[in-house]
Amino acid sequence: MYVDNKPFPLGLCIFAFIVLLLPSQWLSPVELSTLAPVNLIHNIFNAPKKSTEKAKSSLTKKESLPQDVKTLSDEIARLGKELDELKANYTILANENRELKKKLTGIANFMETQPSAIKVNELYELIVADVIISTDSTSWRRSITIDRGFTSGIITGLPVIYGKYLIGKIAECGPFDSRVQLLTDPMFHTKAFTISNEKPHPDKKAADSSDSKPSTRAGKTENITASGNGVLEGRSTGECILKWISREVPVKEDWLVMSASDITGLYPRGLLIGQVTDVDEEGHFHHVTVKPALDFSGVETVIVLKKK
Amino acid sequence: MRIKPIFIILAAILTLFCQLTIFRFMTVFSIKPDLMLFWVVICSFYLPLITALFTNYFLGIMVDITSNSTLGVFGFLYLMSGLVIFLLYQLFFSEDVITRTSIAFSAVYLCHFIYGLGLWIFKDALGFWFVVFKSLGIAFYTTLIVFLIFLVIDRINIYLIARRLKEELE
Repeated sequence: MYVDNKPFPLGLCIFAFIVLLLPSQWLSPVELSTLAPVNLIHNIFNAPKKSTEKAKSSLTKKESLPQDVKTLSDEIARLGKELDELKANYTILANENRELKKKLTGIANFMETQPSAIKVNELYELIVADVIISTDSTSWRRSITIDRGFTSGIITGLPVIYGKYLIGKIAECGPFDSRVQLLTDPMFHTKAFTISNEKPHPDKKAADSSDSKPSTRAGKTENITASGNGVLEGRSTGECILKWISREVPVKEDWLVMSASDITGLYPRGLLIGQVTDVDEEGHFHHVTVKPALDFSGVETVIVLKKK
Repeated sequence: MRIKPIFIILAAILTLFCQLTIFRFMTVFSIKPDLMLFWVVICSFYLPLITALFTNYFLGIMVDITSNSTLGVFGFLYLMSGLVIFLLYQLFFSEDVITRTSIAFSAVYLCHFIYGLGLWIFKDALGFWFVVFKSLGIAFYTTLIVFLIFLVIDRINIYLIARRLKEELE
């Protein structure tokens, strides 16, 4: 039985219980402030300046070449040096270009597909953020951590997107980083609707989402029908559930699921969420299983939409 | 066996780093092992009660910081799990691998079942049977890895003792 003669740490247990009862709004900034070192490390590893300095230092070293190399003709040396410089510059520019392209992919996709549905620039401020922790440490929750906090204007509840895809919303906000609750988190809820398309092509459908009206794109008429609104919930299994859609409204497998604008107006209508994989009936409602359209593990840069 | 808490904390930070990076490739049916609880088990087995509970609480807070859960939830659950493990270990004291693994299984299951139950009751998320089976899955997966680690540790211990005895005999 209990053999340790030291007093039982009841104080610690009481303290732990009191912390548990404190409001999460008080704790979130403290919690996320502790992630500052992670943010710092991320910034250090991602600074483009570093590669430039590294390349410059390597060039400086090349200038102090051994004596035997200096005996080569001036012309060859000059050309060689020029070639090295050009190569170094090319590598730096290629790397920077690759990084910037990656960052811009999300914004470009969003801008290309959304102007018809929502006036992005007029209604929303786009805050671009890098993902610093791309997963959650527990099996129950689904979240990512980004490198922008309330100092960048982010507040709790804002939608987070990648290109034309809705990936979640801001759940906790610290000074320099925030936690994004993904679509698949069991605590995630948002208004959504299903949409059918005779020719399933997610890219086109995302752009052409409109209620019960045939829409035209590239001179081709497609029969698009949107069903009623429901509530999308995460399941912590990599899937979501769409609830409270009346059985009177048709919903079929392979239909697309899109975000609907809610009463707060924070969520733009027509962001792609996923695809219907299974439809069950539960009382007077459909019980729709949705597979997210995007694999969240590969997301490196996201956009936070803030209403102006 | 005496281990310094600082080594456990450093090892746990490394484990947490793995949990946030490479463990996502070990996910089976959306379940990944909770190896932070392995260190809770180790603390409760080999550290004095007070040190073990403080270390366990700290480990739980680290999990809270890197997950979407409210700060203090896993801290409290790890603290309580540590206490349960400590009491069970005192009750069924044995160096047998099966006993230690069974105690670890109980603690992991209890911790995750309570968390899932909390999500179901207070947040109206998931369902009761989902919580039961998911907690069971996490407990089995984690315990399997803990069992393998215990086996390896035991083998190393036996080898070292045998070598020392051989040297003394010679």
